[in-house]
Amino acid sequence: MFSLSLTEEGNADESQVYDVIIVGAGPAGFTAGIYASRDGWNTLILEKESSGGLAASTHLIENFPGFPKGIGGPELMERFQEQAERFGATLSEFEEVEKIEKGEDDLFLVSTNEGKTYRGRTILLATGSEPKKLGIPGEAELANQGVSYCATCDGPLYKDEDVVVIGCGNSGLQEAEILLEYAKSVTFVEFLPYSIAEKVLQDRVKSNPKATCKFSHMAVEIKGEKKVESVLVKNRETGETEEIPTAAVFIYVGYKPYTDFVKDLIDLDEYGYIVTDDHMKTSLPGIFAAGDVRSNNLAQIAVAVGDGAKAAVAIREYLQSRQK
Amino acid sequence: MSESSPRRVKMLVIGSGPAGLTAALYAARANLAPVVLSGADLGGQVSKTYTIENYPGFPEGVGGQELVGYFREQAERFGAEILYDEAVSVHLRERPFRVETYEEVFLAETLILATGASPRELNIPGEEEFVGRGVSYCATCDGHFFRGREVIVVGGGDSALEETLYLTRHASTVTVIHRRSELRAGALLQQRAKAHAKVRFVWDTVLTEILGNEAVEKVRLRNVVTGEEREMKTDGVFIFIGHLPNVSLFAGQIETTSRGYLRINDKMQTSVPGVYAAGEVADPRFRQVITSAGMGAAAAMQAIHDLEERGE
Repeated sequence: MFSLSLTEEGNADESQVYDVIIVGAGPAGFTAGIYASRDGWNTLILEKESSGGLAASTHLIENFPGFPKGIGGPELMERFQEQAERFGATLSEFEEVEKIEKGEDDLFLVSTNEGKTYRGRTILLATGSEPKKLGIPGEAELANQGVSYCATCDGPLYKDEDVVVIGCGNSGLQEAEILLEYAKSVTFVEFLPYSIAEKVLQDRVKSNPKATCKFSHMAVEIKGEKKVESVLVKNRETGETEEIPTAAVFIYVGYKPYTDFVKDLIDLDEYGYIVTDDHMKTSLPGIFAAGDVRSNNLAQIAVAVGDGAKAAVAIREYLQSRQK
Repeated sequence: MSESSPRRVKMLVIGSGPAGLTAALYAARANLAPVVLSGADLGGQVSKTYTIENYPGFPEGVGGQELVGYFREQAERFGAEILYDEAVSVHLRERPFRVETYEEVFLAETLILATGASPRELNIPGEEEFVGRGVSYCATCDGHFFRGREVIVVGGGDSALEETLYLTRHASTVTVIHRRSELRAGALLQQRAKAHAKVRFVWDTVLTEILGNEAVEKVRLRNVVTGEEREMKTDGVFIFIGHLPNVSLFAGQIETTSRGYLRINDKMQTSVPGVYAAGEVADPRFRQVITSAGMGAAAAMQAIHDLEERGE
């Protein structure tokens, strides 16, 4: 309705004091970035990898409201980024936060792997979670040689080949869609006797002739010389093992929070997730958390994004209450 | 009301704003075939919003009605049924819950209450006409549009002053018009607002009319002590005289907070098992499209989980 005055785009800068430093550029971090920069707060977003978080490694997102035909994870995250930058947030990718400590004048000092130290009045932790590893022989040895945690990224490499997916939860089945599109066959291996995924996802997999499901099975070893050749699975009811020949093993057995770098700073729950109140405040005033890194999170983009907006409102109130 | 036998559904969603439609999307993807009673205004308050700039995923902004259209299409694509019908009575004492509408009677295994809240209005000439063109009930949503402009705030409570201080980040001046000679807001907030260089106060005064052509240009004021009338130029009128959660359908059947909002826990469960609430009817604080949508997703996920536990 009125014209906008845009803040000049800048680079991450150690000499200035940021009102908000957001750690993690996934859905929660970007949303907080959109809100905070639109409020006019000087906002820096630090991301240890490329932006987008786990969402960017999702092939097709169908349940983020506003995109009736679904939208690719990378595209949705590009749009989030564009929106945050449009309002003046500064994003620095491939810059990993190693330490956060309290400095003078109520400022937080954020040190990164580039040897830089940024100063922030508030911190938002939106570091999300990362895929859990199985911890079985062959997994580490054959990483990137057929062992993958991202079907969106690596699925197209296995066109017309047989592949295996470990884990039949939401992420396993959701990501399998791209595999079902490219691969010759997809064998699902699930520890439990059933799948806990959304019904719509289960139905799609069941009705696909390329798919086979092995419930009550666990992977015990991934075999191969230079690349994955087979996976050894064990029937948890009969104890029998079976070797499934495969070109790739996609592992979707859950996530763990990325919180090691703040474990001595704020309260974490028994699994390492950050404890917050419903206003996204952590145990240390001035530090907030949002998204999948929070305790009891629902691992949904729509919810993480809501968290990000709530955190931004709480941060605004914190900053306003301290303005002289 | 219909004479035919009641229609049994696994989930009935009352309200069709971001919370209701997102809950329906999630429930539909779980094959619950949810039914949404949209009421007269599909989309609720959002559909009356001109441009939404802070809904993530739309870098250029998105029209309120357009966004509601996407929400609806997405929920319907997975099997939600959206009815332009309205609940007239809701019975929460017995499960399945009986809900009577103008057209039908439902027996619902779970209910999602997403009836929203309505901002209190001044009910003066020009107010409705200029909504989205200078009249606003949400500083977070619209403050950014008033960069370097002069705005008026109507109200004198905590939220009015918090929003006033927020608006100083955008506007060149913020004039608070208050009907009394003192504020209801807390002392600290008052102190900060009164000390702020951009904030002015006009006491004992009410708005009687909002005037303009394309957008708001001025307001007419009346001093309630002297009766004197005058006009004041302004670019925007922010009205913060409270919100009313839409809970009358459920009165006496469900717990509410001291402010009249539905009481929920962090799983969106109300005091009645099988009944969930999401969006502004249970949120006096954040009131954003995306926070309501997030609550809708969480409410549906909990309902799906609870139905599975019951073996439905």
